[in-house]
Amino acid sequence: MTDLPSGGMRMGRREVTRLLAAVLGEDAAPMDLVVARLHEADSARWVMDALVPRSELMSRSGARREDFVRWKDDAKASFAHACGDPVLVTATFLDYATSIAAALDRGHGLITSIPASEIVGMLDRIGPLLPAEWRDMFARARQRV
Amino acid sequence: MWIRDHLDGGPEAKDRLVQWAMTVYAKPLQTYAKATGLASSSNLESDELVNGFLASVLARQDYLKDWIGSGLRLRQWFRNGLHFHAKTMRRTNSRVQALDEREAESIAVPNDADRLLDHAWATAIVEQVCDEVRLELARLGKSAHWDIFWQHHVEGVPYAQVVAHQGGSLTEAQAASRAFEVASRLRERLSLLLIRDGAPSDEVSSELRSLMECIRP
Repeated sequence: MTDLPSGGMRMGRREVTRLLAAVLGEDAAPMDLVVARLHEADSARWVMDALVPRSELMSRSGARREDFVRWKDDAKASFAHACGDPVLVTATFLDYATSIAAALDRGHGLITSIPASEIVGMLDRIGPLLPAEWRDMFARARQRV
Repeated sequence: MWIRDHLDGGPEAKDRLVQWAMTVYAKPLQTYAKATGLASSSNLESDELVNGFLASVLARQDYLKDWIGSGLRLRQWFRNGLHFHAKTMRRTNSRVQALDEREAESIAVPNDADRLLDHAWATAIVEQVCDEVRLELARLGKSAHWDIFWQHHVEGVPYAQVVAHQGGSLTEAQAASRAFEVASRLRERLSLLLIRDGAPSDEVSSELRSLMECIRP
């Protein structure tokens, strides 16, 4: 954003998107928020930061289904505590989606009661926008739904 | 309906309506006219084309009355009118008169016109309501509310850090509450603009979601 001498604001795509998300609050669709965030220039770094707490589990070869269920439940709880705050909702929804994709990728099947068709839609919308390693994982998960 | 009431009102109400329409629609239409090449094809700067168009149609009694029954958003009504105006300008421009008539006919609404216009519209109205809310908060001695809102929602700074930036005199909950107040003020003003543009009052949220969608690359 730049302030003009008159005090008027000139905004780019990023600022307008985030302001609209803030205005929408709980009415914003979490998936739309994640997709919008993944279109931003610094999205790769944002993804890495958002998923850092999960890196240990992701690298553990013997991770069990319960570990991924715990991850998903933890993400769901954070999502509920976000109270519609789009900054928190966006990060926690990515975390939630990734927990489901990671479980599928490891061959643990669907760890949610959400219909498979909706999970496919989620993986298809988010996956292609992620950095390479996560994108590949979402693509493998997509094959295993 | 606010626009109908002003059309049916006295000269002062009509003046207010014209002033409002110029303020809200000139900028997105200028951006649209520039992006689509409509202005250059008319041998005019985008502000010349749009200001001339708005001044011309808003002086007519029937122009906005005809819109009310059109089923279009006002921005789409203006967009269609602007294309017609640009075509007329080309035909009356002496340099263009020498061109093949088919070229003048070729000015058509592009396939992605809605998206282009919505993008320009969303940006313009968000900038406008931000200016208004910032000024309003400043008048109320609440400029810090805006800073908190901006840091958290636009810059993505966690409230814990926002509070530290503010000198630690606030709790995170207080900071969140202030940001919420700003978001509410922005929503109220954006909703007003969307309803005046023709959005049903119970569909403001879906209209805002559509605007967010059209902002995406």
